Amino acid sequence: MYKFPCNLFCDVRIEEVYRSILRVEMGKLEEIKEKEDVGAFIRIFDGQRWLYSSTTDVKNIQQEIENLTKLATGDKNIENHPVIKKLEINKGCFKSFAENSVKKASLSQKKALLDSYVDIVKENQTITHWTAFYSDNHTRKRIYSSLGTHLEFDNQIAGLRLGFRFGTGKDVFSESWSKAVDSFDKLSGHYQEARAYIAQAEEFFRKAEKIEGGNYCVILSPLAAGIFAHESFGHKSEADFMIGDETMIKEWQLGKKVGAEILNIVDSGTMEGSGFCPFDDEGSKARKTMLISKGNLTGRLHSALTAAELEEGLTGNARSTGFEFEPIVRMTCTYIEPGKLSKDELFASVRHGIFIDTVKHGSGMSTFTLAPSMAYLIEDGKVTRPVKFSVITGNVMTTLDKIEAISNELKILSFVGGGCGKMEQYPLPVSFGGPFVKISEINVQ
Amino acid sequence: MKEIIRSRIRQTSLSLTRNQISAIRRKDISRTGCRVIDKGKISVAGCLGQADIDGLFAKAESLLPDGVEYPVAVSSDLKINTDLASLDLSDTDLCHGIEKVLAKLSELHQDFFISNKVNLSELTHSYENDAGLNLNHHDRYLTISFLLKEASSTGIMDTFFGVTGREFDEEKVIKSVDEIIRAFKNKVDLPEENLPIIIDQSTLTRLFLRDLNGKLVGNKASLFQSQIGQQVFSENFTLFIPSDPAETYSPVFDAEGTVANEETRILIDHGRILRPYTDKRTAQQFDFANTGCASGAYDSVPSLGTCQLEIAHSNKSLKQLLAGKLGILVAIASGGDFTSDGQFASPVQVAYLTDGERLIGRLPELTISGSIFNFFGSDFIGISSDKVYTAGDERLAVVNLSCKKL
Repeated sequence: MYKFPCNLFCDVRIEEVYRSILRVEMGKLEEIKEKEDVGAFIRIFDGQRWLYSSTTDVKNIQQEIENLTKLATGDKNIENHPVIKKLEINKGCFKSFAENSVKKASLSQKKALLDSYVDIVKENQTITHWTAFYSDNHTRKRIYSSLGTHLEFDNQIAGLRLGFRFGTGKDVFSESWSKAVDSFDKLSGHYQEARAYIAQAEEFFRKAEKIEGGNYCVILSPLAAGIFAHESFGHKSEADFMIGDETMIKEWQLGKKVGAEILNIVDSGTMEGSGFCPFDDEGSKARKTMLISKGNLTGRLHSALTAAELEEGLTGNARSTGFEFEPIVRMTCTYIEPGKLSKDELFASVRHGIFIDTVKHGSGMSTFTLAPSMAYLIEDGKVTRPVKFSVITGNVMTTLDKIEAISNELKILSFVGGGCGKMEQYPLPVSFGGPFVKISEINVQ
Repeated sequence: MKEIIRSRIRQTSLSLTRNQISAIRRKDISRTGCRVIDKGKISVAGCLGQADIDGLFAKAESLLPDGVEYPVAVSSDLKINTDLASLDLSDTDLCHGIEKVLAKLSELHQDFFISNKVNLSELTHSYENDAGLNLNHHDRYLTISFLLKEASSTGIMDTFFGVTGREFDEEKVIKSVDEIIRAFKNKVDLPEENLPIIIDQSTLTRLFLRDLNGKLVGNKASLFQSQIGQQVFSENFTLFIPSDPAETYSPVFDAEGTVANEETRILIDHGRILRPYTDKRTAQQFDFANTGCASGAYDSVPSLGTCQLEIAHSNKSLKQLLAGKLGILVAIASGGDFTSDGQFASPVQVAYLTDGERLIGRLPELTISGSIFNFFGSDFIGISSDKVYTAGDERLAVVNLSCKKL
């Protein structure tokens, strides 16, 4: 245990990370490695300013605490500071993955798994270039604080990604299939799904035609809906953007109507997958936060700092990408809740529109964009033919209001090898998803 | 054959919240990677913090039977020592300087908030092997990243100032941010005539990163497959891999110790596509020139990654390229992309009208679009010879694109 300084708040987060990576490209093994790293992040707060240190010298954490202490100004009343009072004091060991750690699977087992998926890519003679990637990560964290936090927990993700390109010259198309789960064993047996996805991509490559830009009725797949929720609204729910900003506080008052009445958006660190986050990096427990309920703003995401500033409750969203960085307000698993219509009923209601099935990337400020990969024309309620265009874009708030219908199933998607970026911290594992979502009008470019 | 890669980053990072330094972070991270190369295979072991070199080599040797095929010669007999760490700035001076900048800008623009990060980074990187390779890189630089938000705005941010450099000229930073904010406050309409678009090079060149990748070209899967060796773009368009560490903030050598010569680093010469970018293995496999683009983490097998790309400038300033016209300087264009056949489209969240020397006013939100074969072809105007400090101290591309109000 550490000797924490008087008249200051201090916490120490120690991370032990096991990870392995394998990559095969065009039949050749390009990377095979497993590694274990240990590092620590130390925070001191003197009531005015935070002081942080990131170190790999975990044997000398006490010395690093003392070094930081010299830079701080003491505050005898620090424990009554609103931020410190807001911090949750959790104790105990909450390890969920010790028994089925990905570390227990050998590299040769992981190679055999990856090779079994490589065989599927090799079956397709139209593919001109491909890569196959396996990655896993088992992170164990310990958090100790001057308030008495003494917490151990872990998190784990394992996944596969097959990237493939069809064609040559001006007639090319790239796609990728991925699967991410919370244990090595769960990655076996998804061959039919991978095979069907590759076949769909090949058909798209052969048949997709350009479409004229303009305004269309659009149906988003669960993946596209999830990216839309994350990019268009999720980032606006991160309360650090509101600190001390009266305009933002007035604009984003809880209860304000921000979308269609059928719209509910959630963030929850309790969902299995790449957004699972049982405790955040301040030691606050994960929970479900309703960001939008029936079209009204009902919650936002917090660290202790932002929760204290806005006099709201903690949400378990103070996260960092690793021991090199301080926790900031980030999403976990963000999704749109399902509605009442069946998928068929949803599609049947569209006379002329576009179905966005897969997405390369998205972004969102006041204006959001999604860059589709596989998209299809909807004519008289039926998906008729693949179409290609660069991006869909629109004003976030206007588009949230144009959500007309939501299907009744929920699909959460997890990922490896990427994640969410904010300021200097990338990639942070997150997940997202939703049902099929119909938007009455979006601009297609 | 044994190789050791060492890197160390020492960084002081200031978090800015509403014109104040809200946090100070210190980081000191060392990384060591040990490679063993034998009988056409390579394996690597690495660690963070203090390294047991013998232990790492022993681990790498134990992994060699299952290692990655590496049938290429290692780099040898080369010594390079690059030291660019001339920035003499203490943490205390940095804090005082940034506080001064923030205070002055708050005084000038009480209706704007500044937030985000300032990082003072010192990077050392070395690469040695048994064959006489001894490569060293040492740099120290400041990265200023200001998110600028109007107090009355309901957005997360409104505009941006970001720059990386080896000097800290407080007055220059204040002057540039002041110019950006003044232009932002002055709303102007999009002129009816078609104006040249002034944009960060990498926004438009990123398709080359995808489709001039040596493995894609070698496997005949590139968009440019049938055009290698042909005149495809403007006579004025030359694309190369920059290697000057003073400009790239990266070592002159790649992850295999390659230092490619100037001629080899040209990928497109006066519009004619010459070659893809490569590492050693890709170059050997497909009989391409090795352009020195191996990358990878300190404990990874070096392989073909991405590289920095730069378009040769036109020996004309931004003002001269505009030739008396006004131009549209794209400040923030987030979310754009290329289709597989080279069509580009992007929303433009923030753009300024400029005469090439000063920012005149803020334009409405826009969309821009065009084909790579056009905007680097007949619609290519040039690359500014001068670096524009308000736009990241970069040389900017001037092209004609379709541009409409969003």
